[in-house]
Amino acid sequence: MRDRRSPFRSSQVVEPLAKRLALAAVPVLVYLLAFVPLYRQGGTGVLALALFPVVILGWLFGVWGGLLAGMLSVPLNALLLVAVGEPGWAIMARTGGGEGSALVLAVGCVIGLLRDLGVRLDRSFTEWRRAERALRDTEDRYRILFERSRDAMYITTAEGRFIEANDALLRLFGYGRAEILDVNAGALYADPEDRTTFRDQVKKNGWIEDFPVQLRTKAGEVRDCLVTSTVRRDDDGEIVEYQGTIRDVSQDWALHELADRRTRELQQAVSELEAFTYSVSHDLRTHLVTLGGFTSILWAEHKDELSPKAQEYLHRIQAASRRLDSFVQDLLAYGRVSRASVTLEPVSLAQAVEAARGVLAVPIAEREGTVAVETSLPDVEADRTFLGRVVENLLSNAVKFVPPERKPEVRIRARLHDHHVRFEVQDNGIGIAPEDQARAFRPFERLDPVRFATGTGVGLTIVQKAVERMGGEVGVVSTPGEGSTFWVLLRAAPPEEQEP
Amino acid sequence: MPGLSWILLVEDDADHRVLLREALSRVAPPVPREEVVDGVDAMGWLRARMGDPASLEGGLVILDLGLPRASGFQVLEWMREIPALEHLPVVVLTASENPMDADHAFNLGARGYFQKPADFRQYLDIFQRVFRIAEGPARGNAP
Repeated sequence: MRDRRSPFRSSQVVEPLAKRLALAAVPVLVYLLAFVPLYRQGGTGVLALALFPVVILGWLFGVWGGLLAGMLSVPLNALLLVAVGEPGWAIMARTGGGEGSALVLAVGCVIGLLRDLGVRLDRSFTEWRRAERALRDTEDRYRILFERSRDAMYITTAEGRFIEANDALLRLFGYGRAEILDVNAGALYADPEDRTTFRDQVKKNGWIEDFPVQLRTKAGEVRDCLVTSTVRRDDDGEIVEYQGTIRDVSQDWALHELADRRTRELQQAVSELEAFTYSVSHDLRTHLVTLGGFTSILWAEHKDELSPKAQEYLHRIQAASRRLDSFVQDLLAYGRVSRASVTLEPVSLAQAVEAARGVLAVPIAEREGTVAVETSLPDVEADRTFLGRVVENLLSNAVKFVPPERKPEVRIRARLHDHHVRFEVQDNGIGIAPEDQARAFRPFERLDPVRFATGTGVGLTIVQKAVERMGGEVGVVSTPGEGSTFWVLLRAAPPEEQEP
Repeated sequence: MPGLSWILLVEDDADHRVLLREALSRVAPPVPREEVVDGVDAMGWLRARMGDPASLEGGLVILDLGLPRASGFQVLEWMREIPALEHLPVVVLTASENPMDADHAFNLGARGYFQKPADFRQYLDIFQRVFRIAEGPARGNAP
């Protein structure tokens, strides 16, 4: 980058050639016009006149200009004398013109030499000024970096005496600018052993990066720091200076500690909430067990003693307590799939389906339902507990939401495509209208609470949450009145890890 | 039923005691049944029989978890430390839905863990299984 306003430009050292030629023409012209008249008057005026253009040309064109002008002036003088009818050479020889010419030549050379020397000096001086300015610019730039750095920066002697320290360093250690010059870096180490380790490593490698060390401030506080340092060596390879940066990470660690504490507090709060949930559900269930237990004894063993009306009311109480029990269990299950950690591993979908059929054997038999597995069921990448819950809920729904006059027919199939398994549970139930399909997965949504009072409205929410947490997708395709097909997309287990 | 000679029922809820009594009266073999209402009483009852190891033979403890004064877990912990009670089968029957409780109970030596059902008929199934566990030779898991 060249400063346009700089007065030290090359054009200023040497005038342009055209300008110099124009300037040279003046003394030459004066000489040509004045030589003959001055000669006729006689005296030293002629010598002075002959010197005039030589001096000027020497000054304008340097040593070669002066020499050429001096050499030309001798034959030119002779020619001019011949032109006015004087016998040139003879006169010049007679009047001592030879000495005069030699003088003119010498003067031209000397002036030219002086001029060249001047130009050279001027150039050197300009170069020097320019270099000095560039150096100062660079120095300024790095000094600003050094001073403004938020990390402490320093240069010390090989013995550890501070040569330079930036504001950040003074702030970090609490010393004044003058004070720090009397401090030896060794005194800053909280543990002198650290200094030995530091020096050994720097000496060995020539540099060190993020060396963790505890340094002591003027006030005696200990700060956790990371030091990055390099050395400068002299021609013999001896260390003359250490320079580097010191980063105070006490605050970083304080932040980490704060984040850790907050996380612990949050975990504490979550586990307290979990404990509270279980405690509430325990108390709820305690009463439900009583309610359900006694009503079922009444129903099983004293039904005949009751009037039809009383039987109906008892049946309602019993159904309500069962519903409430399912609801509490579903809420807890939802809490579990939301929070429990997910362990993805190859899991047998076939086994999950078999397990769900076992659990639901009674409701399936009660409805005289059939469950057909139409394809092979590949292993999937899933959480065993979550997958079990998903399959059980889907199968339970497929049997549950079927009109009473129809026998449930459930078809289960799976298809492997692009490293994913699409698992489908198709029923011949009431179906879900397109506008209700998104709603079906929301918590507490019961699409047909009048006809199907047993639903809690949480089952599909649990399915969706569990599938999402396993990184999969879930959806439904349905025709109202004909049935629904719920699908779950999960990653396929790698072929070599398929469960036997 | 061979082997079983007494049952100790540890249950604080009066209603549940009635339900359990009703269920046991239908499916349990005709052996003496004792009832205590908290963990401290349960430990006291067992301690009183420790002097006569024969009196502990063939016993079964049906233990609730959420008990006053000393919880079911505390009872299990206490029993684990006493060699005379080491082989006495304990089956946990609780209203808790916390899966951690089951793990904890098994770790403390429970032979079985059942959730109290809201349907009386299921008690009968549960007790059938409990008696199978009580007769089993070693510590088992909940089905």
